[in-house]
Amino acid sequence: MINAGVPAPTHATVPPVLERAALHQTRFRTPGVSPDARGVVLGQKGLVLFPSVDRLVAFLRAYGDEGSLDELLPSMTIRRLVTPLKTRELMLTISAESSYRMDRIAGVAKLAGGLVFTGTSRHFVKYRDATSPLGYDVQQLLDEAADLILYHDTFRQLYTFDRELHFRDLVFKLTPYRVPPNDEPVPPRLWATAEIGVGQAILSYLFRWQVAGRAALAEWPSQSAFEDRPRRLYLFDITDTPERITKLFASLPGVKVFSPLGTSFAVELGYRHPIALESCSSMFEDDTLHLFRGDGEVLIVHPLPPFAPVRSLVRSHLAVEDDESATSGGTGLSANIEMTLPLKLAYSTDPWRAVIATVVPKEQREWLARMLYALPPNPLGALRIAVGEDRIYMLDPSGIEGVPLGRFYTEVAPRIYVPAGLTLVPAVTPNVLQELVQGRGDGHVFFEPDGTPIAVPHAAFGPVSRKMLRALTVTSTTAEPLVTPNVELPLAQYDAPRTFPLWGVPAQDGAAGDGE
Amino acid sequence: MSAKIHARYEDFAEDFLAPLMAGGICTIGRPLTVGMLDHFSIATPASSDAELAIRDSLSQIGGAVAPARYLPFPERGAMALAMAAHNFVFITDPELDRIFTRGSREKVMTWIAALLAEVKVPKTRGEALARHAVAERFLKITRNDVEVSNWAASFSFLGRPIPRNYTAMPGLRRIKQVTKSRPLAELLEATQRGMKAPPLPRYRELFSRSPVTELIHADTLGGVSFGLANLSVLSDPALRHGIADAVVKRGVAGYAKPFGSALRNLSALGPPPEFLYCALAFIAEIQILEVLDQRRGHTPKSVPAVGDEELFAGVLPALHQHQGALSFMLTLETRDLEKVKERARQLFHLAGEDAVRFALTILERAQPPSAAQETHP
Repeated sequence: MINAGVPAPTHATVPPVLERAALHQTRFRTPGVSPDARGVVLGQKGLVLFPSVDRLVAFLRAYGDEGSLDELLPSMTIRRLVTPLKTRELMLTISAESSYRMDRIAGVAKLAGGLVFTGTSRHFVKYRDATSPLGYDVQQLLDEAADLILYHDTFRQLYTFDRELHFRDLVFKLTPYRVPPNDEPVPPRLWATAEIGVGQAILSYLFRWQVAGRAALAEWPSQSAFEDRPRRLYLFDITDTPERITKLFASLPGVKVFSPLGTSFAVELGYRHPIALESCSSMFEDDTLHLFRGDGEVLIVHPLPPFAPVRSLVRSHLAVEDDESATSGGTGLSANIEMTLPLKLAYSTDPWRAVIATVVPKEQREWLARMLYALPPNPLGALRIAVGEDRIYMLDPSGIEGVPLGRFYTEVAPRIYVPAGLTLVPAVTPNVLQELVQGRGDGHVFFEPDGTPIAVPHAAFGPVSRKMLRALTVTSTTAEPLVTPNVELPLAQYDAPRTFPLWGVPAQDGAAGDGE
Repeated sequence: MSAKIHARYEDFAEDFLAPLMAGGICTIGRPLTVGMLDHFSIATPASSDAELAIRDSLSQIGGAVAPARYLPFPERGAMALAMAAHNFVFITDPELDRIFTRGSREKVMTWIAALLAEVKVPKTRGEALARHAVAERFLKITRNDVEVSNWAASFSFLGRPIPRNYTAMPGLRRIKQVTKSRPLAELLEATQRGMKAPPLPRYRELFSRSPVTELIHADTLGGVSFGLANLSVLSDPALRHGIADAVVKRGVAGYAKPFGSALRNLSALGPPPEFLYCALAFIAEIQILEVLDQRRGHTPKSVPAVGDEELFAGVLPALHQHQGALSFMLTLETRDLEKVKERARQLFHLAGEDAVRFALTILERAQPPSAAQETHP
């Protein structure tokens, strides 16, 4: 097939196509080639000719296993070629760069059944081999209309470019092959996908067995008009997975477990991709997850959906009964709370935050009364209090530090409080916690270290002045606002005119007895 | 004679003094002489309504400045001021421009001078407030000049009632009336042309006989000085505070120049320390009240000061730096003190260092009355 374009070349009848390059030879008939520092004939490009795709894949796999495909990818081009006899072959061109690189490529290509050439634009001559350590030069150039002309020591061939194959497409079209089970340990981190139906069960299972992991919901748009909804899959990022769980998941229908090869790509567990993906990691974007399934489908998750800890997503229920005894009249509190899933309090070393509530037992009621007398007006005004049967609940949104009595509580979610220094496990988010605490209405829920949580109705809280202070007996009196009279301005008006106005004025000389 | 004087008193009290104090038409009769003052100072009007109106207004106007248990009425100084005020209005009568009456203005002016000479320095808070009440109302007196025109002619009625026949059948005769209200100072200015003794200086002198009025209206009257009468009034803390409060309400900007000049002149005379104290305490209280009254919506204006205004503005910064006997004036609540200090810093930049130093030297010389008595037994 290689020499299909040339009729039966024989060394006896056909003059040799190539001639060996000599040491220090500077002039070549082949255009675009020159000796490098070692004297090896080298063009700007290297070309590997493969008779079929499987040989190309074998070359890529072998090269990826031995080195890194990342260094070839920037200049790599794969094209399908057509000979004048309409046979098809595959070529791979890369930037030659140096004879060292070409030697490595040539070594691997020979193993995979490829032929190696070098050149610059259209005319490529055979790369050096053991017969001619400095390479070859053509004896006569073909002046034919063709996209590519290859000169081998036994043939010369014209080619026309058919189409270009992208390396990424090639990688994504290749189907992973199953590898025999071995005793290699399961990688500590795994990706897993699960259909919607089993996703919640996986979540609960992971949560139940305390397997650290994150979960997200990935969506893909409908591929056809017949699909009424987008495709959805649960996506799990599981760490420190026990081997039994890994095997369990891998055997579950609807669940696929992937072994990550890099930060953003993984191959299904038990399968191997024909090309060493880790050697061409630059092809995979960091913000996209590529999951190569064993059946050849590649799940591309872009953009990455937000991940949440499994413990935050697990569905659990917590029922709280309102304490009817906690009324605005302060008759008492004694509600029981039923929890169907044990949310537990655990000691925490985190610093105290949002300490805005305190619960004062009835034994400290006298102390509290004395304390209230000494509180400044501002803290006293901000303080809200609910009087229970055996304890007093106090809230101050700006901080309860002003009342150094009772047990301090931190607000872990709106109107949900846990004792300071403790935390709820599992560490559910405030939103989840609010959903868990059902049936509390608008009440405030106080978690007790050694008992059931207590819900205090919001209406039971009020200012200290209303709850604690006795009503005063006042004596009514009357008071009217000070009214500034609108006094009329004086207006001068003369008396009737007189001919002699000063006549008749008494005491004109200053004495009361004189005048006139 | 005394019967005539009393009859004149009744007319004066009922037709002029009562409307002057309570508002209304003040009828100007024949002028009053100083010879009537003795009688007027002890007489009370026969009309209880007139007496009630006078006493009520005295209490209202005086009480707005400072609390006073009793405002004396009749009080000789206040009565003399009221009589002088009556005479001032009298000489604005345009009928006095006629022949045979032109000399009467000069003569009445001598009577006014004599009456004002009878007004001594007030000795009590009540006397000062009573005079202030009369002077305050006198400042507000106006005259209505009415121009009546019909289809044929027009007539002027200057401070006199319009006869009915001039305004009868207004539609048929196309009667039009144009009224112009003119303050007394404007009338006096128009009157003093051709007079040997112009009435305006006397008019200004009348208010100097009422220290409270003179200090409160120093922005419009001008030419105030810290004389014995004013300082005696300012020595009373209640009166001083009331006057300072009234000044702040009217706006301090207009007082910087007259009070700064008055302080400079007083300082140049080398007065006793207690005199300086009264003046400085008054100015400092104005400036402190100006800052503290921001809570009531008043905002002190930062007007660049020049001349005497620099000295006025420099009093508060100087008081802030002062460490002597008057430093007790800045014994305020912490928040108020911060505001006063901030204002002092602003005024320091406005007044300049020289003015503040000058004010500081005056402050060093001033002593509160009690301390001054100890120093100068």
